[in-house]
Amino acid sequence: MTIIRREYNQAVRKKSFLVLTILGPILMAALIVTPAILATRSNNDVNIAVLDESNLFQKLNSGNDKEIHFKYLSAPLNELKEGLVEGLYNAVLYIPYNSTQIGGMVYTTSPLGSGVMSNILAAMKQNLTDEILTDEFGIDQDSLNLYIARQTDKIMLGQMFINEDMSETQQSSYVKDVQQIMGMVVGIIIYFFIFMYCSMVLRGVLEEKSNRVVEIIVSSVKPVQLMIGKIVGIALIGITQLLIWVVLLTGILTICKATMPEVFSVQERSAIEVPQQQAANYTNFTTQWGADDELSTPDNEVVRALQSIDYTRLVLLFIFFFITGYFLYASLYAAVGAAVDNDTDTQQFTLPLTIPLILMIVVSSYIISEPDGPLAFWCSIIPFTAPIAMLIRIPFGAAAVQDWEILLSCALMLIGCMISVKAAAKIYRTGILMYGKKITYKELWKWIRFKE
Amino acid sequence: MDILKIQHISKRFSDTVALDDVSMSVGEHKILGLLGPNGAGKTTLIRIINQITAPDEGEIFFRGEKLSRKHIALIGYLPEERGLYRKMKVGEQAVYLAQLKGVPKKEAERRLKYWFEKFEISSWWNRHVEELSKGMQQKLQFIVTVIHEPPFFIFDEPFSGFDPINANLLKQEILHLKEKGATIIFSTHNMSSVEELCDDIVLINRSQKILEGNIHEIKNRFRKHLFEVEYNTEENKDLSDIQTDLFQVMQTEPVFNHWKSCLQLQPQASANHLLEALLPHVQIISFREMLPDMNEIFISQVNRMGKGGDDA
Repeated sequence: MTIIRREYNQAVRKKSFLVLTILGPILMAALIVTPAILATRSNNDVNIAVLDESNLFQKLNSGNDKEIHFKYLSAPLNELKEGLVEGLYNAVLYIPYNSTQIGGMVYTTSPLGSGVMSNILAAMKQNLTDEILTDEFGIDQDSLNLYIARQTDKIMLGQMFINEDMSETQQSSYVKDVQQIMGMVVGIIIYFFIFMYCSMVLRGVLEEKSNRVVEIIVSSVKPVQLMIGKIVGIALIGITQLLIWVVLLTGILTICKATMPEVFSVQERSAIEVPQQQAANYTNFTTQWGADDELSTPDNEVVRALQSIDYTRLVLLFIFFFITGYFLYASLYAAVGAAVDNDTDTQQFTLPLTIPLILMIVVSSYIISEPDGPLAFWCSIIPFTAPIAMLIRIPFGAAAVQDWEILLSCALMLIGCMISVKAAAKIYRTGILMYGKKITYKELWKWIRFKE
Repeated sequence: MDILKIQHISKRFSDTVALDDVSMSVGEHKILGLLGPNGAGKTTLIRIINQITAPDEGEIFFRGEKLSRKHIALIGYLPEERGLYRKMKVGEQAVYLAQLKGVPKKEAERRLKYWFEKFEISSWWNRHVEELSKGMQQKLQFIVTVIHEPPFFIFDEPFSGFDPINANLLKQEILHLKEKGATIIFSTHNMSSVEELCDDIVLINRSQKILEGNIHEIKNRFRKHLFEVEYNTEENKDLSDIQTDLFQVMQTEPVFNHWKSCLQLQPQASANHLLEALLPHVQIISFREMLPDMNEIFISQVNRMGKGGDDA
């Protein structure tokens, strides 16, 4: 207990811990918010000077996009271009007179925000449609809309996905996207956490060994107690840090949401990488045609996809795999720290421990594309790779991971954990007081088999 | 009564024998010097007593009971290879190490205050260990060794890194601990401190015990019947002029206004015989037997073995 408390207090009071704990969520929040802000900023009030020589587009209307303003000017193009350079407006839309081809050119000094180009195109199409409707058919847009809406509202459209076993689900492609992103994020987080805290254990053990304080301590407590105390203490730090992150991140995001709501409405849409063109069409479609079908808006799809993930299960399994995975690796790292004397040797022995973790990052993309494939299965069964592999798969739900697989993985994880802690304890006990001797793998194996 | 009894301890590492059938006992309220050249097996023996490593064979009894984890709190151990957490604050670290020994936090703080004042390092309480000089770290290390007030101590090279003043302070503290009833095993290469402090010694060489006993008894056992006499003679007569079988003059040299001679006495004769023989001839200024110092005994015993001699 005393050892746990010391490890905990020491690390918590370190400046690096504070910095990381506070900066982590801020960085993460920044990562989420900045693109959103950038996206909105570029969308902010794009003034477009229009020079229409074709006389086809006299009623350009930006529709629901309130940030785009069309301004008709009748100066020569060169003058307009000068105005553009002076910053009077953000872009010049030049539509020349051409009997065979309808089209325009947009001049800008700096890139327009994503979606502006497609919005201009949409506005042009709309303008032309209106022209055609009134000029050739004599109907105005509003009454047509009303008529169409009345008829089309009767149409109902549902979506069903058929799995390989012929079962049906209401998943859509958004759900899969969200699951993939979730899986990747969770996998990377657990990788990061295991790696970070394990190297903390390694450094701690090396420090104790190299400054010889260890002999004083093992004359008071068993070496195994020291090792376990250190590992548990650092695990608690990890959990604390995780909690602080979660609290801070939600806090920051809530504040951001409250102060800049418009940023977040955009952010949620772009988070799922829906092509802007498609998104613009969607919005145009829904507003112009009055169709307000809940099913078809991407935002709602995302929300639904997010809701389809079983969070309690995800969180519980995250905690389980973080703790067991951490114990598995931390004990081995502690053993390495105890066995070696200097940094060069440390690298030689930590490399085999790092390989499965790094391999998992490489393999993770395959697991994401095929969460129920054999690679995913075997990776989530082997204790060394299970924490990452399993967590990548969990967000895909029951379709990808059977319950028995999770149970098997958990059981093997626990067994692997115990074996590694035991083996590590043996190496640790022998190695921690051994100085100036170069250790070989053969020797380590002998230590493991050495019975007291 | 013996506080610690070590019986037939053997310990082998993969390719070397560290201890070979070593037995010894430590009397209560005594200071025992554990001597031996580097690599003799002292540290291994000490670690076995501290239960850091386990012996392959043999048993240890602490106050008649078989040594077990519960005795850890009764032993204060100052290792030779010592260190502290460099990044930790002095006071915190001392409290932590005391807590590991089972001293409650409040009590640890109280006792540490006392020791810190005694060693004049109170102002260092909130400093980091890495700021301390080597001597100060050694003081701190000594304090954490004695903080749980055990009845039994093991000091492995306690004087290394101390200047003469602090070494003396430490010596006084060790004697003070003994006065208060503690038993101490004291491992060192510093033979003069052995003679000053120790009651008994055990000499280990090449993983075997080669000498054991009370320090005075051992000195007597290895006496060479050498006497040093300082004297004045009339008309510059020399001691070698005295015709006798009782002694031989080994060496004579002038000292200021008199002479100093080293005499080898026949083993059967006593000091009184020698004095009787000398008195008629010279005026004695001082007279003492030259008992071998521990240094000589140590070197001669270790070398004897080194030359393939018999096991003592």
